[in-house]
Amino acid sequence: MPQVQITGLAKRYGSITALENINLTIREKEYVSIIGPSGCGKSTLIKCIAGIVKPDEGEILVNGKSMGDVPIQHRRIGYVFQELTLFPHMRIIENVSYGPRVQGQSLQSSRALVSELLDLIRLSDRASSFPSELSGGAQQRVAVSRALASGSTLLLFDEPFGALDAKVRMELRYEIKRMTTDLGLTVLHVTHDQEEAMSISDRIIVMKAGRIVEDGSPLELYLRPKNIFTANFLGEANFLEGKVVEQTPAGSVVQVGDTCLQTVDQTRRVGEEVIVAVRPEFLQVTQDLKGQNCLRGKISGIRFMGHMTRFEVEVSEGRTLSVEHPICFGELDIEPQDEITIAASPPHIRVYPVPEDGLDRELQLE
Amino acid sequence: MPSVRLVDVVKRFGTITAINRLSMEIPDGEYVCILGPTGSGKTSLLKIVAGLTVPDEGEVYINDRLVVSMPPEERGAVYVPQQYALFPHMTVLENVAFGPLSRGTSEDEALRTAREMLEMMRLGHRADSKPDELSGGMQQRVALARGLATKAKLLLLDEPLGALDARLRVELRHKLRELAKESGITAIHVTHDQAEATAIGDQIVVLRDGRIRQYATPFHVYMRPQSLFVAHFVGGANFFQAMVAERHSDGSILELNQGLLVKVQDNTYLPGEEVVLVIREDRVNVAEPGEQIPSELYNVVQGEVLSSRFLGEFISCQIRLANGDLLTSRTPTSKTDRLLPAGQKVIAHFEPSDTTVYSYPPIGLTRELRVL
Repeated sequence: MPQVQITGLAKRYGSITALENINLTIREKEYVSIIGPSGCGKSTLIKCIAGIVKPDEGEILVNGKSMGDVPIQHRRIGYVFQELTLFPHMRIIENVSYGPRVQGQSLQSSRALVSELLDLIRLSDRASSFPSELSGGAQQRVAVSRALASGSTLLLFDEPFGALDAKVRMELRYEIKRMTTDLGLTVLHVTHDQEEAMSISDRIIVMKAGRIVEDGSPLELYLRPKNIFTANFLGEANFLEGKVVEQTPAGSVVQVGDTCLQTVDQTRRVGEEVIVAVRPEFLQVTQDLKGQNCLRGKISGIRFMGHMTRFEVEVSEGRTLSVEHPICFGELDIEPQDEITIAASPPHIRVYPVPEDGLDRELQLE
Repeated sequence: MPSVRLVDVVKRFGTITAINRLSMEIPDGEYVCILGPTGSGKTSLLKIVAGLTVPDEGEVYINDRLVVSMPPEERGAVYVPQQYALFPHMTVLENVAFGPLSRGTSEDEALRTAREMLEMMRLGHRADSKPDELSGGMQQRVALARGLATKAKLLLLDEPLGALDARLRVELRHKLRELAKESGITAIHVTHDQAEATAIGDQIVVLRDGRIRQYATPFHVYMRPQSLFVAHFVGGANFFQAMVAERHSDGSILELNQGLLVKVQDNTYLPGEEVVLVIREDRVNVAEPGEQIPSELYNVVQGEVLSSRFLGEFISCQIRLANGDLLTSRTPTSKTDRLLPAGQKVIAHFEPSDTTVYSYPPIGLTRELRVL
């Protein structure tokens, strides 16, 4: 039985549609992230499941049971959001044991669980501190363990690390992932941080304007996004307009400017106008001028980015591609204005129909 | 175009020293990112330049003029705080135009500039909205546009992209740098995000406990970090406690946990000295058993995969080495897009020239690397 099953969910605020026909299944013990630009409805969706927002249409089943008339406090769902929400006047141990106590458990019976959870978040030595004495990261770990102590097997996270520093956030996300996996919990995690979603999720759901665009494993969505919006939102991409000129057994050949690109696409027809997308790191600088899928261009910008060097390559008048070269592949002897050749392998060139409302509109981030 | 110079600046709040005898110089037209963890003094430093915080000691110069007792509005700088305060009763356009208007620009000119800045911030279509109709990220961009519209030549930005979604942040950081460069602005930009600082700054100031840990180009901060903390905070790396076992003319041999020996290029430490071995994650190569490993490599260690994480452009792999130590590798997805499963036996290898060695920190390794 799936842990969460959502059918035909819709929510409107006046004339604004926050959610439209959401259908979604979350399996037991799955770690699923929901990403999308701000205002896409991801928080509304999770609030509907928590019981904080009442949907206009549709059904939410948790463990097979309809949540329609179940009030928040009886849903047995752990919920952690961005704002730090510990009880400021309670010690850490009291915060964590709050759930079991309001459910009528004796302090004695919840003590074992609570001390186990404090061990898990490595804060046993801070059990009698007050929240304000802890860092933001530590407070958020307490909030997570308070949700865990409630005994629910389903956890909803709404940007739980949003208020924290980049470095702290990175350490915490792996810790939380480890905890929830060890305890065999199901997690639905809303985030605006693509890397966070990719690094900890079994599956990612991409939302835009109240709808689900697509879902899949992080690797699948990153390497083979079915939707052009996903290609741009989950990592960066270069987009080029082209036309399918041939269908080979390997896939479509797309003409872009005066270059023909072999792709593995099987869906478009000869003569069709298309957009091809290539991620900057899949464009590689090559000496082989006659190789497959080569583009010649002039370097118009070079920027050191840490793990990568980023080159801007002008391949034709007004058309510039970003190329990212990992530092560990060795330094390239390239300077601004140099002519270089770049190439991408067929599986890394994705082909999409031209969006009806134009490319810019389709890729809009809000 | 303004330069900024701080000399022996000290600022205390009660018993806490926020800025600890800090001196630095920012030349005309430079884009400098102040990078550091929470509580490192980033915002205090910015406010001291803006004139909103008065230092207890030291001197602040803008364009070689001592400004310590000069009120903020006379310093020719515009400060965009992290907590942007927009006028709720004005439209977005009016909010942005207020910047130049308050500096005596004509109304036509102010509105034109305001529109231009809103376009750049991708908010042209929301010019007539009221601030409370916008998301937090949009409001932050309005505040930024208002600051930019003043055409002040010294821009002081406190986490200007902090409230934005990750994807938009990446896009706007390029824009911000472009604009600063085109307009010949000197910018001081506070951030806790090392990727942002690396992508935008001409120079990065790494701050910790109110002191400068390194002030250099992104390339130098990343490639030649001056301390363990900087190596950890910018770029990330593996850190191992070790002891120098042998010292030769072309390098040294370090002894790690359980007698594991590692060859390094560095030979500045003496046998018996306690040191820390640092290996950048992307310098660790991971091979599966049976795979060909170039034989000239010195450091080959058996291990087992604990977990693999997909990060988009990279795949990171956590490995438990035969001696019990943990090692993280980071491989470009363009090299391999395979996630090695937990439990997989692997061989980690790295070159002596890809390691760095630091003396063991007196406060201990954990405290030295602490980011809170």
